[in-house]
Amino acid sequence: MLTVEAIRKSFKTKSETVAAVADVSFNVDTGRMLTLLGPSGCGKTSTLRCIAGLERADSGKIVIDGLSLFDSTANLFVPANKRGMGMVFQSYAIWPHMSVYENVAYALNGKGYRSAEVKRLTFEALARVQLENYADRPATRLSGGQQQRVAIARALAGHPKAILFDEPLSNLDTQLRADMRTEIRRLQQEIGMTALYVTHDQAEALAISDHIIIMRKGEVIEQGGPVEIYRRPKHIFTASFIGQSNLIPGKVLSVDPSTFIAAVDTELGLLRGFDTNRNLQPGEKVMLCIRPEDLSMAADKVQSENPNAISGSVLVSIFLGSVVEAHLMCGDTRIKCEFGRYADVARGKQLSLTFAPEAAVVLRAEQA
Amino acid sequence: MSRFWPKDPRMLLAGALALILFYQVVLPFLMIVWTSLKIERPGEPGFLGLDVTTFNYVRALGDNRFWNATWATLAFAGVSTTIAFALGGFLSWSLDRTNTPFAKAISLLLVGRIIVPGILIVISWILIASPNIGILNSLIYNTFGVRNFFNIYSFWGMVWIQSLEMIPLTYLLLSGANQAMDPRLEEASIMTGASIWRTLRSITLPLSWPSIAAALLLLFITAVESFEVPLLIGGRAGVHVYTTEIYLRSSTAPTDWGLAATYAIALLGFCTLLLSIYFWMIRHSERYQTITGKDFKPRRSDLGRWKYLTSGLSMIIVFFITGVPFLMMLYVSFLSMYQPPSAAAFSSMSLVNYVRLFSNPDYALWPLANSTLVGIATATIVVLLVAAISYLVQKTQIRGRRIFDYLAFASIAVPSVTLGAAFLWFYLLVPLPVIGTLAIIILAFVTKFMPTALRFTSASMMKVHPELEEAAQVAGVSTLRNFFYIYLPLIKAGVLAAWFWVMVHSFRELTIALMLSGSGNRTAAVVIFDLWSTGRFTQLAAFGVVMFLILIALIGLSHLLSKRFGVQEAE
Ligand SMILES: Nc1ncnc2c1ncn2[C@@H]1O[C@H](COP(=O)(O)OP(=O)(O)OP(=O)(O)O)[C@@H](O)[C@H]1O
Ligand SMILES: [Mg+2]
Repeated sequence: MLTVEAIRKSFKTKSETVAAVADVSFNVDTGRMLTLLGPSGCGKTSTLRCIAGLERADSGKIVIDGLSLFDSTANLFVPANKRGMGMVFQSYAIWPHMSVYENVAYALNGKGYRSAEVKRLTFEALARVQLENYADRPATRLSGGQQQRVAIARALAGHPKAILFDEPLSNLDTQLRADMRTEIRRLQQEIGMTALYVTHDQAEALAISDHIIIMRKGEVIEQGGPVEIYRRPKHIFTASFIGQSNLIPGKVLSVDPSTFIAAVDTELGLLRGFDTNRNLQPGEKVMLCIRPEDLSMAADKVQSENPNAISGSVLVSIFLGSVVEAHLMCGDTRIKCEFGRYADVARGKQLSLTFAPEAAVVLRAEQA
Repeated sequence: MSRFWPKDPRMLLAGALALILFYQVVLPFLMIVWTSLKIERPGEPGFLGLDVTTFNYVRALGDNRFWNATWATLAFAGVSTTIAFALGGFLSWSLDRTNTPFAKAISLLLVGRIIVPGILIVISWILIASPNIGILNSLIYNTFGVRNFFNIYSFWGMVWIQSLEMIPLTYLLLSGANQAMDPRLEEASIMTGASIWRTLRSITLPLSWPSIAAALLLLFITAVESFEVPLLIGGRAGVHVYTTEIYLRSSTAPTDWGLAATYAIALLGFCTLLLSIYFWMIRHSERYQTITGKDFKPRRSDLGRWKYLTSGLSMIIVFFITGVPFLMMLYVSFLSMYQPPSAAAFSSMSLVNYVRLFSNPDYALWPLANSTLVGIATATIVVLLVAAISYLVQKTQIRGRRIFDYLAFASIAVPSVTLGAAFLWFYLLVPLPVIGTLAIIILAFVTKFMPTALRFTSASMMKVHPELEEAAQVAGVSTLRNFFYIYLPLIKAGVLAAWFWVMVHSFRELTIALMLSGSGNRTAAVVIFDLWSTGRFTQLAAFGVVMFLILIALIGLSHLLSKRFGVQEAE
């Protein structure tokens, strides 16, 4: 298990001091994949580099499998090359003067293995990324995807205690990126490696992780499993950063103490949603967040019995292949929704939408 | 009339540049070749006759002196390069790649030394370590009773000064190599568990090998071409290299220009060979530059407590390079008679040298004015030429335009002594009254400094997008106005950097100025040489200090201006 406790790191530039990481804590369970997700500049790379030992954190504590790697109170700092971690860089960092084989074997040489053993382990690592037939190629004569595979094999070869990925896929094109992320996930589960993955791509994070940490401005906003983060965000930032959400402002009228379904007074009428924080009080300003795919067309009759109904006219509709996306004007609020591909949503059409109260979340409005 | 003028003014420009380059680069080169093939001297009847002979070559090759000079040149350049590279490499690593304290200040002092004229450095080391008058020797004699412990007039004395001279250049060359490497490549090695040393050995060094080899070659060429050290020390040390042989035979009686020309050809051929290898090498170095990714900053290794050691060593080296010559000049400039430091020496200090210097305008003011004039004129001419050349080569489609690039760059292979001799002889033949005037020095300097200046302007011209000119053309602006109103302002960063580089280097250049000097066109560097030859050390020191201050002011000015115009610090 990798434990990170209250890490802080700031950089001095000529004019100011940037707090790149401000108090970040989390655990990565052994054999699990944890992702740091957040917008550009939020301190993901800095956090990762502190864990790798390439950067020295200002304060905090880093422990792996009971072994302290960094502890500011004890003035302990284990240098990067003694931490026994593997790292995959965004720019691959493949050594251009070596062959594929040499790049991977480098990680094993000088660690007391016999040469036959080095060869076996190198080919084992290359086989894991399906590159065993490329062993003698000069590393520069590989495609981007292949270079990234070499980088992964190199990081795996020494059987590291944990492996760190810093946006490893961001230099690849879209199709390859999707393939590679499945590949990384398969490898990680196959070997059962402990992995820490950094990305600013929310789809990648959802696809690849056991656990996601949402970061903003150097701080952890919230964390949880991908499904939980997607379905039950506890923070407006998360709801809007991950996937798409319609945010409807309103005020809490009441909260059911057993189901935590909150009734919210909005300009679209009374709407109900789930209070994920389970602590809203009547009168609080909130946002009701509902995902486009959770809205469905309502039969006209139901409207009076079901309070969770919105109606409006279609402003624009876009055919996306598997679904049709439509934007509705409901009063002054613009609502985005998704329907099956056969839906008839011509511009100007009057529509009634409904959603299950459990599908929407009610989140405390952010104090600006 | 209009039939004779090409319609496109760019063709006119190309024609004019072709003539200028032919005159400034090709003719002096032919002059050397021709002189080496003739018994008659330039200007003598029959010199232009077609009866060429290998007489001079037979004489040179059959003489031990030639082979001694060859051997001395190789040994001197080889050993100096090795030492400069070792010390410069250490500085580059500890100042740029580790957390050595005060690295920034140390490197500033180191690079700042480049502006000081080489002859001042040589003289200060003579005053320190020569037998009889060397300060260090008298200190050792007074404390240990050993006479003349150091002798600067020796092969090793030459090597010592030359190495110190070349360390700042080594540092600059290696810094460039450092910056071309992606720091992630080293971090990837560290992350596999490799030590700093293994990373240095297996990743950093192999990857920078092409740039390192190129740097070594360039240093070697610099040492082969060097003039000040062999001139002032080699004579008494009995070490004669090509450059001094050429100088002695062409500028001091009894002259032997035919022989000087053969030596010059040998030196030129040698430098051309090395430079070709150099360019071949750096062409390949780009293959390894794998700059990708957005975050790109070099990593500094944490040396722990060793950082105090690297800091201390760096300071000592830089003290030898910059501190010693400067302090020495300053000390001597206040003495009325040269003597080692003592209570008596310090109590007799006065400003008399400075007063004497300025009371005789022939000695200080005129030469300083000459140097300034030469610097400004050379810089201006060179910058206009290279701006036009890089425009022509990069932004027009004229056939054969690359020739201009090659011609303007070719003189980088021509050592200063060779160039000086070529211009001297050339104007004995051409009936222009320039010998003994500043004009001949400026003409030679233009050829000398064109190659480096060209690199500054080419680099910035490359960044100017062709659409800018096309836009102006569509708007109906003439080509000439285009050049002055679109290109010159856009490349002003490169132009300004080139101008100052040429200005400072013309100001301090000795070799060519000395070979072409008469009584009326002495520059500051030549005056230092004269004061040295007549043994007036104290006045010389005062002059050196004044010159040093002027150069500092120039650099400060260039720094200010480049900040204003957003120019990157020029090497
Ligand atoms: N060496 C440094 N010196 C100064 N500031 C730095 C340095 N490294 C990072 N920063 C600053 O710290 C903050 C966090 O940077 P970091 O690279 O960790 O962000 P990130 O989340 O990885 O972003 P991205 O998704 O763009 O890679 C940024 O504001 C950045 O400008
Ligand atoms: Mg990053």
